[in-house]
Amino acid sequence: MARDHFQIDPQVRRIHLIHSGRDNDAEEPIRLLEVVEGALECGIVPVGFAPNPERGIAYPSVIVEVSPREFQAIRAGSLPFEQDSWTVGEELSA
Amino acid sequence: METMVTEEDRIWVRGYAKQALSDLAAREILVHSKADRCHRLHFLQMAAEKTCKAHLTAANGHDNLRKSHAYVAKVLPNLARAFFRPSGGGEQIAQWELAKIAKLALEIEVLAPACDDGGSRLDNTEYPWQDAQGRIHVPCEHSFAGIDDSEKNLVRLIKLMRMALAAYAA
Repeated sequence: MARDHFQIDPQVRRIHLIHSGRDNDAEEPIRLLEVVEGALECGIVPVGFAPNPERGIAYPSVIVEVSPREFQAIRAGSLPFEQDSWTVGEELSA
Repeated sequence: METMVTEEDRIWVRGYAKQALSDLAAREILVHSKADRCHRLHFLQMAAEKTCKAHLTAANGHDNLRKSHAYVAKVLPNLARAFFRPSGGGEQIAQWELAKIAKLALEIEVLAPACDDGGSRLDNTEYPWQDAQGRIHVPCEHSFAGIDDSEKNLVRLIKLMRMALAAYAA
């Protein structure tokens, strides 16, 4: 999914996993934090998606799209996730 | 002629905006509870319609709001022009982004059973319908393949709607 998003959107600068502390739970969605140049700045808006096997996506997912400035604020702790258990995880490559 | 927007109009605007935010929250619950696609799309359509009604009521007053579901295709692109403020210095929404929003808005509009595009789009998220060959289709079994609500498109649209709704609900 991350590779797909890098491909279809040239404005995507980086994508990180978001960990929730329950990552081994099979019911948990895959969460991606996407840093997008020019993204609307309106804070953290998680948007959920059901699995879409026709597009090769077998698991539920949640996408959080932020601007580079918002990403810095998340890193600095001044723009927290609503869910305390969420943390920024490893970066995914294109 | 300038329209006078009254305090009662502003209460309507807040009402539409709050209900649209609630519809979007319901969509998230439906996604996570594995509800059928028709229900997820239904709440997206309702949220989009009320977002447009909030936008129109703020501009023209509640008395001038048409009793119709056919708002989304025309109004969502206008809303995008009004609220899209890209980070990084851009002043206006890019044309390609606007074209994507307009296409998705049209597909969202025809999800309402009352909006069938002159009888050509009977597919909807609520009631079974019969096609020209006499086959009866059921929303909960329908794929809604025509609507491209893939991640990138929908995230942008929902962020845009939430940005407008936050302003209107305040």
